[in-house]
Amino acid sequence: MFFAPLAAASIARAADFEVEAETIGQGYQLRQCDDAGRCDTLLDRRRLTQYLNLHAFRILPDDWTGPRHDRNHLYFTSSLRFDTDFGNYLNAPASGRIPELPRAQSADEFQLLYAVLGGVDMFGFLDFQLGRQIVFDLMDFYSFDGLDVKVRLPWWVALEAWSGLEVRDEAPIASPIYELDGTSRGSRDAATCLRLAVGRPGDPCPDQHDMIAPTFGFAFESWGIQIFHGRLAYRRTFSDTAGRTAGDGLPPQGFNEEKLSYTLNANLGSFRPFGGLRYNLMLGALDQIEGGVKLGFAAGHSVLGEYIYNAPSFDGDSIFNVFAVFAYNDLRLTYTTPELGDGLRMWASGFVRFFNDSTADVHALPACSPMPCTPANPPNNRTATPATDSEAVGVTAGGRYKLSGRGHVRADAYYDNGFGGLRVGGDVSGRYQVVLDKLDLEGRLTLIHFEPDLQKQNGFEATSFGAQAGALYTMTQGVRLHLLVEENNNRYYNYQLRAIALLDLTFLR
Amino acid sequence: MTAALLVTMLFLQADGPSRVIFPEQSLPLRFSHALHLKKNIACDYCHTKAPESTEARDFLIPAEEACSDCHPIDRAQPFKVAKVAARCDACHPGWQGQGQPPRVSVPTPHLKFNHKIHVSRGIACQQCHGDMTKVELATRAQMPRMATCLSCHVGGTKAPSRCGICHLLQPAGTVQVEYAEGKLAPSGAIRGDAHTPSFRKDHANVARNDEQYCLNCHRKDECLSCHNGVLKPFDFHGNDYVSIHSVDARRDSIKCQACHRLQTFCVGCHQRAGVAQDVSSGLPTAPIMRQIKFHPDGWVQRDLSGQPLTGFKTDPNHHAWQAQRNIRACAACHREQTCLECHMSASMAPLPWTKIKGNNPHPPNWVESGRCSTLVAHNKRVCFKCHATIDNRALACMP
Repeated sequence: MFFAPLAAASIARAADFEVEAETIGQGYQLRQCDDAGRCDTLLDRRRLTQYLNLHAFRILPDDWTGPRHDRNHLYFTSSLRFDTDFGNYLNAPASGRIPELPRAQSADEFQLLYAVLGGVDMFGFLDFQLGRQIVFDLMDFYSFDGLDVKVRLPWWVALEAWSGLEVRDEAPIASPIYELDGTSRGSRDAATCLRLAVGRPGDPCPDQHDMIAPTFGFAFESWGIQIFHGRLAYRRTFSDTAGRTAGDGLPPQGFNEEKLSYTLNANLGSFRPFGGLRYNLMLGALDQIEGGVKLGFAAGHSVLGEYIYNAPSFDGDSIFNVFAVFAYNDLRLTYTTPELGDGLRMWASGFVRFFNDSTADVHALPACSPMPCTPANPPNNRTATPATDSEAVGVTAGGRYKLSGRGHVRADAYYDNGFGGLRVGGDVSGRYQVVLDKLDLEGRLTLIHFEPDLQKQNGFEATSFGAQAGALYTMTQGVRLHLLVEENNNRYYNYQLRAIALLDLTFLR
Repeated sequence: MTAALLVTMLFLQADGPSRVIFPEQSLPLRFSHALHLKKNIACDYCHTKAPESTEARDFLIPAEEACSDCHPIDRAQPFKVAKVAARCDACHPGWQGQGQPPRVSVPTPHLKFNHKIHVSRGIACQQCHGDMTKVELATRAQMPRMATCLSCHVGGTKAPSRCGICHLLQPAGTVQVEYAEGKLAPSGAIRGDAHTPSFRKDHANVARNDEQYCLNCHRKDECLSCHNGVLKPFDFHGNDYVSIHSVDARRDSIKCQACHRLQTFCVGCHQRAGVAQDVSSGLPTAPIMRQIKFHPDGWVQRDLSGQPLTGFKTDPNHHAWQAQRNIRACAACHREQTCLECHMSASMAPLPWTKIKGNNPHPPNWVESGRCSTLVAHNKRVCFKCHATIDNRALACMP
């Protein structure tokens, strides 16, 4: 019905429609650990995912879009996904361990990832999106149902504002893939039930996670300036307290998120600085800083240097916000060559990451702090320091060689160690178009040794060899079949198989 | 600003114009722009159609008639000697007058371009094509680079900066990047975003700064084809990544979160596979001891009966060190309930299946910290997951 007036207006020219159907079948094996800590059985996971994407472009007639169709672009785009699991992955006893994720919610999910009626460059100054939409920016990946409007003002400044409801797992046909992290359906569980706080543990637990979460925000952004781009953005998400009754002492409302972010990048010839920072107003702290510069040299050599500061933060209802005390700092350097000779490009990169901890604070604490000394809370040994490293370092080097425009061969070697564990290895991969525009073959070989740092006691270290082979067959225009098989071998399993089949159907009109 | 653009242009000169935008040409000709310009011959004397051209596909190379004004060409005398060159092979090197001379092939550029508008704005030919006084035969090298266009097409009042002004567009309004000659990709001159092999991993520093910039060429569903948490991109995660991923996750889970959320993706799989075992509310005994077998000795302080295992944060393996360094790694296996097993305030009614509570997880001086009062002011609910509403400590840092 909504499209009726538009259809009438577009008599002069039909819109472009695109229908995509993608079917993905996956089968793979996962190691399963039993209650005794033995992890020597394999679970079979089989997964079927079906996408159906519908798009309509250039909905407005030529009179509106101009002869080049480069303005007043009105469009509709949507993506539906059905996702289900098979195999003993879902069967007891494994599924019995997570009663809060019954099959109806952890599999057989029907999700509307996005559905947007949008306009680009409407009347020369306006962009908008109405519906379920996904936002990528320094704040986060984020999904909401609502309206986003951006107006480009004449002075190289654009003003953007949006409002709607955060897409949460429990909203109708929602996908949780971009939900604020930290809370889960566990809100119904007794342990996180706010009823406990008011002394009524026997009452049914309301589901805080089920409450609608209004969100709004705005941004100022530069536009049309080639040497500079900056964006200042603010976003707030909040929700009412579930099951609150008068006089129970619970707050009527709480914030799930309140953030302010600023990003910028500049193009000063071969010197290109970029950066951003995010202030978490809910936690009263800067929780993300990133900055760097890309240097370009004659003949295409480039160096990228980056600094990242990251302090974990979560949905405002998550107690992980309280536990997350320290940030980590990260320095990275990447060098890339230009294309050498007939299509060879090489690169090398390294990083060092510093994880903070409270070693000094703990050593300075009184003997039994923060609790009084009791038999159950004995005085502490103040000399302990963490068993794992507080730094991590790593280097990577690789190269890619193009094969006469029909494919490439790539090799990578990597070593990293420190916090998290050791990983050293390399792989060789390649792809080649055997029949032009018809058939591509691909493969990948990997040899890697890994030692997770927390698992030394359990001897959880291994050297793994993996091989992968695949084919991409274009049957006809818009119909493609992609098959991939991966086989891995290490001391935990003689073989661990993974197979994927993708069928892409695209219809254009 | 002018200096910066000049540096950009100089930087770009090394690469030449895109072979996708301006496909390779075949120019079996001999010609000297330098010589003709020295004689003060205006550009449009030969390129007569250029000032009126409105399409990039217009063929603007002068035909023989344009040359004939000055060169006494006679097709019947291929080797004619004259004061001004008139031999056929003067322009068609190697051609002996038999059959057709080698053909000139100048494929249509994959662009929209209107010479007429630019000429009417008073833009001189050399502003886009450069100084031709030293050029012999003009080739692709004399075609303008994008940075040249951007010196005027900056938006605002000077000239429009929309990609579709020059680039061919897809129905979706994005720039058409697939051509028979190859795939159009940024040189990196505008945003340092050259699509090198490592760009697949490093693209966040461009995309997160300005999403709209990427959307000029990429549809959003293209982003979601990878950032979807369903399918492992085989060329991104290597073989046996399921075994290896814990090293990445413990170290840098913010990157993981671009595709996977901890509480809705990681936890479910970890618990099904038995890597993590959640506290199952309502069970007579919590399976917390089982986790100790996965984690190293000294990971937790006490067992379920309240007997101490090791001291508070005094064991080198104590979980608090890891939780404070990167709580995301914990949240990938555990939900809040796991923490509450031991960290719930002593003032709360005990959970039916555990005797442990009251282990204060707050960092030193939490109550006095601005962080406490800020969190309480924004969302007091989170406090009541551990504290009772009558618990004075929960409210101690209220403003």
